[in-house]
Amino acid sequence: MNVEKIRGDFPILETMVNGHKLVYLDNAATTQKPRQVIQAISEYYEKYNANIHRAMHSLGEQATQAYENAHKKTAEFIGAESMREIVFTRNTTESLNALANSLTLNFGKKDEVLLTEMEHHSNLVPWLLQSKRKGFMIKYIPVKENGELDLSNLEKLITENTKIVSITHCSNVLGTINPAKEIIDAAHEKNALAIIDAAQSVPHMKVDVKQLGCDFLVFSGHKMLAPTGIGVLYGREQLLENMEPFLGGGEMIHEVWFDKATWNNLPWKFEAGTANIEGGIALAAAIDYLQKIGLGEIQRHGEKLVKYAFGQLQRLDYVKIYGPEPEERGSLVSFNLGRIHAHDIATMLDSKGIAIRSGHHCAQPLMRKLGVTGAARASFYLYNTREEIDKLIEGLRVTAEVLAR
Amino acid sequence: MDQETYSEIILELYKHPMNEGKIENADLTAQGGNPLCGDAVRLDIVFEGNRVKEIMFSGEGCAISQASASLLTDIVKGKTMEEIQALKPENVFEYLGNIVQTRIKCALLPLHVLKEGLREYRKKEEKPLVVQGIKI
Repeated sequence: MNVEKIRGDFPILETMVNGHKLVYLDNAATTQKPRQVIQAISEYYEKYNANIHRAMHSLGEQATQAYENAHKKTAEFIGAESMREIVFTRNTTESLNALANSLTLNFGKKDEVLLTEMEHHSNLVPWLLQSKRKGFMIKYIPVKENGELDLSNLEKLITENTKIVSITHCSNVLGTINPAKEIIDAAHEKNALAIIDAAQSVPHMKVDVKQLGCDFLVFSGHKMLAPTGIGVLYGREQLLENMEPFLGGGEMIHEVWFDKATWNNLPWKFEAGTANIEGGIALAAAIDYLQKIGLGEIQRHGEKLVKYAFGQLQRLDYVKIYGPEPEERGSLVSFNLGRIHAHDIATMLDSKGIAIRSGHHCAQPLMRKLGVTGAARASFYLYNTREEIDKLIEGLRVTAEVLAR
Repeated sequence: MDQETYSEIILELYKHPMNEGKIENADLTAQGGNPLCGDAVRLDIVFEGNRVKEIMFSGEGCAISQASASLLTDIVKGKTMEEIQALKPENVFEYLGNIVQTRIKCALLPLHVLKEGLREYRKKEEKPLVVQGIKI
């Protein structure tokens, strides 16, 4: 994998930030976009912008083709049966809200939803909202000291009443890659549905919904080189057929009367209103870009970087790293430096042009469990280099010096 | 890097804060924070008539919030309640130096806690008074 060549595709990496060349290590929040993706958006607007599906003119036809192709490409990308199983949403959060709302319509007090203690707020709050309305119970798979899930009681946690098990594939705080298949299988044994939040895994490794055997899988385009505002909800066709729409409006209907309506075919049944057409087209361009390099290559690069960063971080004084060993994690590492507040670390690094994330990472219950109010997080992607990690480490050394007390 | 990112006064106050601690039997204790980042500030105040006679701060959080809290205790000592309510963000920045845009809230947390606490104190007219959970 030629990282120098890849870097050449990302114009933003030439940007100067506070007098320094940008070192972008906030990829778990959102990734930068290659020229190929940016061009796909411009090309759409410069050459064939039109509303899709019902236009009787050439541009409309071309835009419809491109948008539908994006669904097909996404289906192939994650090993889905067909584009009927691919619904475009705004992002992972919207996909999860849609599922939480639509799947629990008939839930009552006895029903249970099982999550994990390491969920992002996006796979937690939608269930909380819905449980308040429906009265179902939410249980959690605990997180162990080492940042892995404690699966020793899994069989007891998934009961006859468990209707849904919804877990993150890779933690955005700890980096832990969860044994998704094992949990999905356990869910299916008790006839529960299994939902995988793949926002942090799909961009970094080959994910195949058939191999996993999950019922639903959700992720965001913007964490994998596509723009913001385009997300994916994969669902097994049979399940999507039986699921109620979560948005009503144009395009999602088959026929409408004053007192009733019937629904369009999959996946359009779930895509009401004018779609994010440019987003879909750009997502397809992003998938093309990732596949050309190869997800295996990208994963190996990420593993190398996180291993290197982990080792270098450990050599700093007073550093506390959260989560499992580098061999067991995705391409990110969260840490604290003694008693220095994470925001101070981020501000100090920013003055050197180094972008990291700091705070609770939308996982307040997990942070509480870790006993901290926040942490700093460096997260990597295919254009990052060892040299950039060296700059990070040097920045942290200076931060510790300046702010030690 | 960046002695400039954090002004000398911030670093000095962060490492060697003035007026850090608690006052037993304070007339007003005002506590608040920013739940998003975990910054927390507590101000204990003793009044003499309408004026701040004694004030101490305690808390935890980032360098900017803690330095700002320490600085604030120094600014308001001897001031009347009216003078404190009239304080503006600029009055804090004047002493703290330039604060990067992303961290303005950290710098203004202590002033916000003080003003909100004071407002309650003047409304309730009872002492000692403890005001908790002030959010910015």
